[in-house]
Amino acid sequence: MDSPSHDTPLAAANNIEPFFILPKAAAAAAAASSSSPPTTTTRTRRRIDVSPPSSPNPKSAKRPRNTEEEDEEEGDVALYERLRLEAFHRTWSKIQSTIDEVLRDINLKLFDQVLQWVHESFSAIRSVATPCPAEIQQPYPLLTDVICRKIPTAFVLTKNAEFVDDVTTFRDLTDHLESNGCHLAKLSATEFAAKHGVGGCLRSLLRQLLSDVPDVADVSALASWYCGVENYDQPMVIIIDDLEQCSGDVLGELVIMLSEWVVKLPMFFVMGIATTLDAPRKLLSSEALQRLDPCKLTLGSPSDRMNALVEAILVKPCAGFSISHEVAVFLRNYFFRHDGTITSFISALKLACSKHFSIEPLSFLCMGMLEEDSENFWRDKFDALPQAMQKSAFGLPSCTRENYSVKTDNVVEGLSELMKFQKDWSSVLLCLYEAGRHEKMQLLDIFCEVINPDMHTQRAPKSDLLMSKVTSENLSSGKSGAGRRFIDRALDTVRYMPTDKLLRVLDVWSTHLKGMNEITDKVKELQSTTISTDSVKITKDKWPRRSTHSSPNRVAPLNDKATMLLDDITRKVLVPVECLPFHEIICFKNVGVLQSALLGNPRRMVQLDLLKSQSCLKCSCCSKNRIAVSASLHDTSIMCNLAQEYGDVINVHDWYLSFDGITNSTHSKGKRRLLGSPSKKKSKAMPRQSESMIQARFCRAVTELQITGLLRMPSKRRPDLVQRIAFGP
Amino acid sequence: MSQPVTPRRSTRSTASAPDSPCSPPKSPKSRPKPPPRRQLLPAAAAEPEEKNTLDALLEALPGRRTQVTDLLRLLAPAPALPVMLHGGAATGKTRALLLALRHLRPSPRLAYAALRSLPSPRALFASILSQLNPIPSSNSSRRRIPDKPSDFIAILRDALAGFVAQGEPACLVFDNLEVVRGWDKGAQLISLLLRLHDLLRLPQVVLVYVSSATPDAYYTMTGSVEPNYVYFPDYTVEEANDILMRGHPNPKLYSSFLSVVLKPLFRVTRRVDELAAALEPLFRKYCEPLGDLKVVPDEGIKRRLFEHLQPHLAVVLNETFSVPMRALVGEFKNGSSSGKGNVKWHFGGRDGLSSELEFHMSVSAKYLLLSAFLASRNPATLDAALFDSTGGSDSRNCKRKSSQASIDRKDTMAEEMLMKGPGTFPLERLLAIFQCITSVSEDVLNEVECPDSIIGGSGMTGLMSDVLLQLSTLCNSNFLSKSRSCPLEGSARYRSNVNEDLALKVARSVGFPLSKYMYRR
Repeated sequence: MDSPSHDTPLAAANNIEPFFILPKAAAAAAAASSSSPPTTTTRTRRRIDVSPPSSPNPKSAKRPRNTEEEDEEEGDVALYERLRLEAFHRTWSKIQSTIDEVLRDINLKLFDQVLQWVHESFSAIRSVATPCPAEIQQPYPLLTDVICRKIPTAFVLTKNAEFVDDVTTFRDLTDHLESNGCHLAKLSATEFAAKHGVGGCLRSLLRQLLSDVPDVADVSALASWYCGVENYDQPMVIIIDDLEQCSGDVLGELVIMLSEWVVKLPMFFVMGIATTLDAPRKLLSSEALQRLDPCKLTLGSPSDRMNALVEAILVKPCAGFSISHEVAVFLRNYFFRHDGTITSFISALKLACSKHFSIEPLSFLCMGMLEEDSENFWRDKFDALPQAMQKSAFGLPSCTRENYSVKTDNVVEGLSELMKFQKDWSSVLLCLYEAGRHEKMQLLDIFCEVINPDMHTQRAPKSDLLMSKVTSENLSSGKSGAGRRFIDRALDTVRYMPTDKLLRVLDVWSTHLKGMNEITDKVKELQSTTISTDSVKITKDKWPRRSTHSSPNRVAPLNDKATMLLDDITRKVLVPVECLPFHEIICFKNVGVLQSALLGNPRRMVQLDLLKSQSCLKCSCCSKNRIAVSASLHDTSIMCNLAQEYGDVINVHDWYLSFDGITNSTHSKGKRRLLGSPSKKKSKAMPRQSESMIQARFCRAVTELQITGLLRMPSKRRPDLVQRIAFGP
Repeated sequence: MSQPVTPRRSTRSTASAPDSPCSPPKSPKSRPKPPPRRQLLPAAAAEPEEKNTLDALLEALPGRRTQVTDLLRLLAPAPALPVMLHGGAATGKTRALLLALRHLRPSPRLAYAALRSLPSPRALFASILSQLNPIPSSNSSRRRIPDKPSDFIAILRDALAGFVAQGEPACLVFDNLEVVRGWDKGAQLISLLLRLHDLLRLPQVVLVYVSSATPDAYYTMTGSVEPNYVYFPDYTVEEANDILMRGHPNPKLYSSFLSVVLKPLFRVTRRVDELAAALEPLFRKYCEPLGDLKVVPDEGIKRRLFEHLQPHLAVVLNETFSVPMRALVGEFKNGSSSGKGNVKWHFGGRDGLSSELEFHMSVSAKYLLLSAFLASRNPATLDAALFDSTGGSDSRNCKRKSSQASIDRKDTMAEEMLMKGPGTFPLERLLAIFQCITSVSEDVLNEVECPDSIIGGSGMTGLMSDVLLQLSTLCNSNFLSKSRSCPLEGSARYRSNVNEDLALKVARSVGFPLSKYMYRR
């Protein structure tokens, strides 16, 4: 279970080593100075991020100073670090295997279609002619009357401009077809480079199929190989996963060459297209296109896959690990705005997971969710905890509200509560999604909304504002409802859903809600009423939706009841995880850490640091007068600040003059202290610096700006202007 | 002796279809799809039996009587001159040749090299030699393959001399000769092949060249023996009709179909293989109203069928050269796509999967695509005017505001740029435009975004973060093309290959008013 992910390339792509190693080393190094560094630092950081400023935790602040327990604690720190590392491995491997399973299920549908297509094409080709081995090996074409020269080709639309996700898909497709008795060759864009020509890709084709490649690659070698008893009677499939990146000339040549042989050597193409079907049209000559007998297959779109993944990983808590609202929103934006690949979503999630286990001291308790007997697990683990950590558990911000005493039972109870709650919560969320699905809502959107703690506090007391379109409209227009767009939309969908669809939805609900007896009963009740009223209402069902809309009196009572039920359980059960005690143990909340880990933006960070160097250096003198650029700043920082006043080009002379003015400004004289560079110290000696010194400092600063990539040096055409590269505050 | 050469006819096909010339001649091609279940030609498939007479041969090659008789005459006598068959693609050259060779008594020893299937001169040498010496075929890979043409000639002469000594006639066929012109050092190889007759000095060996290019294309062979030419003209409508009709299970029905369809299609293409490919789906459409394919159509039925077909015919006429895409699982796909059609634009920008756009792209990639489109489409001189009025994020462009007069002056230049097609642009310009349009639409995005979203506040900076990554994605999917970096300037220039339709689709999916920014006359 520890390492099931090694063989999957998706995992390889996401192979972020957990970040324990570094903190651990740091801990060992710093151990001598005081007590447990990792826990303290992380603890304080989390305090800053998470806890309201009014409730600082005095215990955790005091804890490091308990010197008599120091040795013991050091051992504990190592132990619990190991535990958390183990917890991370187990949790992630569980998540990873779930991901693999989900993706495989989605792809399997496509794979079966491809396989079926291969078989159909193969029998079609064989019905044209069934050449005997001797005929196949003849170099000249078969003289049948029916020679067909079109290569059956499946265009697989991957529906994502980004290619990363599909690498695995096509590799799995290769395996799938191979295991189903096809000869497989996989060519990629590099083999279609114009440099090697068609000979290069033919050679690579032969290398994949033949065990013994002759030194002169030509098709007849393939023909004689195919005549071997064990190879004959199986179709050959050539997979080209990234059609767009191939050289059109070379691919066209290969197509034409192979098309001459297609009756003798039943060879089919499977080509992956990232964008639209125009791609082959643009890429290939019409001659080559004429030789293809195309058909189109589509892969599940990234959003579909995303829905499935979110359902399997986040909604159904497969490993106990969950994320907070902020993190979820961040991940969603990251997916839709930046990257759009499942691969990076997964790697972001993995990053979040590893961060969680490295930051949160009690996170190893997460493992309990995977245990058979989780309560005992928690009890054992918690009892074994040192006093300080036990106390810290009750110091979690989510517990301060309630009056818990420091007792193991409370923790165990809280955690099992969490676990049970998560189960109910996910079933109800899935019901909501089942309804919203008909409106093409994305699960991730609903998920983000549902786990929003603000939303929950707003909507809790308003349960009387149920139903009737009018009120729900009020809701959504009012400030509280602004965020409830998706839930309300889902409810609306149910309200105006045709009866037959609704019945199907109810069926799904009852399977989702298994285990929540009272609600299941209600659903059953609804279902039974429909069945009885169904016959009566046949005429009513036929009514167009609009008419039901306009006359609310006649809205099928079933729809109303179903909506009411859904709304009810939504309000009751969909409590965001962040509102529950002890959620910090399983829930990752620190979006800042994740963000900085994912969105590296070095140039901007350099610029920001230069502009705000006072705050970075925690310099007391400069922070007071933040209006003007003070001469005590570092030269580069001054220059960067000055550059902000220019457009995309900077006149070097003007720039120099203002730099000169600032460095020589009298009022900042007294403040030049240790901070300055050596040159500054020197300048302190004389009231008016020598011209050459300032010029030298200016040049050095410009060079530094250039090296950091904020600036481009003057070109020959405009020697007096430098170009800015980085903009923005 | 040779046929009069009429190069004009064949140039079309040479240009359009360099490859197909030699392959199994027209009739096979014409056959290809339509009735795949038809039986092999008796003449073609069967062993050359007694009854395989000249008539059968001629019958297998409709409309090729003169060419076949010429061929038989030229191939027959042992001391022969080289022969070159030329004519457009899919005119039956290879088929006629192979059938004629089979007809000959005694049938000669044949070495056939389709140059299209042989990627290099070495492969050609190896293939020819192994056909002449099939004995060591098992360990052929271990046989030494000549690299140099002179070695090849020596070995080839040895091999052929053996046959000639035994009185066995031999024939070397070089098919698809025209492709060699495109090869690296192709000219040398062509002159070598065409001088083989002189080089081998074995008059008993017949050399046959098949080419879809006219003999003019091979004028390097001065001084060598001029081959005899056999010209294969394009088929006429009647011949094409005959070919397409052959062996059809329901000739009456099919001929009524062809009478309607063939003439208009013939104006589009004369290649029998393309005709057959275009006709096959049409015929299926034609037969749709008929329950029984065995039916013999009367006038009424014909008219009805024609009316049924007419709308489809127009489409096919325009699409002869394009790929007909058919969905394997039609119902499944249609269901999903129709459902996608009515997605509401409720969450404008953020929804990655737009209703019209068929594929997923991240929002920042979409914006980048739009900026690239604008950069290619608009003249660079107008950037300032276009983007300042809408308030690019900072004031740095303000001083560049140009007067109305100067804009007018630049109009003519802009017009020129439009005529030239999409222009190229440096990376900096792309990024500047990108920043402008993202900063404009940032407000819109944030409005739509959940107000509490984390990244909302820094929406644009978020978008800016990995622009270069997105850029390479776009380049990979051929939306942008990148020129090799100029050795002097050092920076690469880009060009957008996106057409306006797609750009508009993308713009709609992110709710960006693209047309506002597009420079139009």
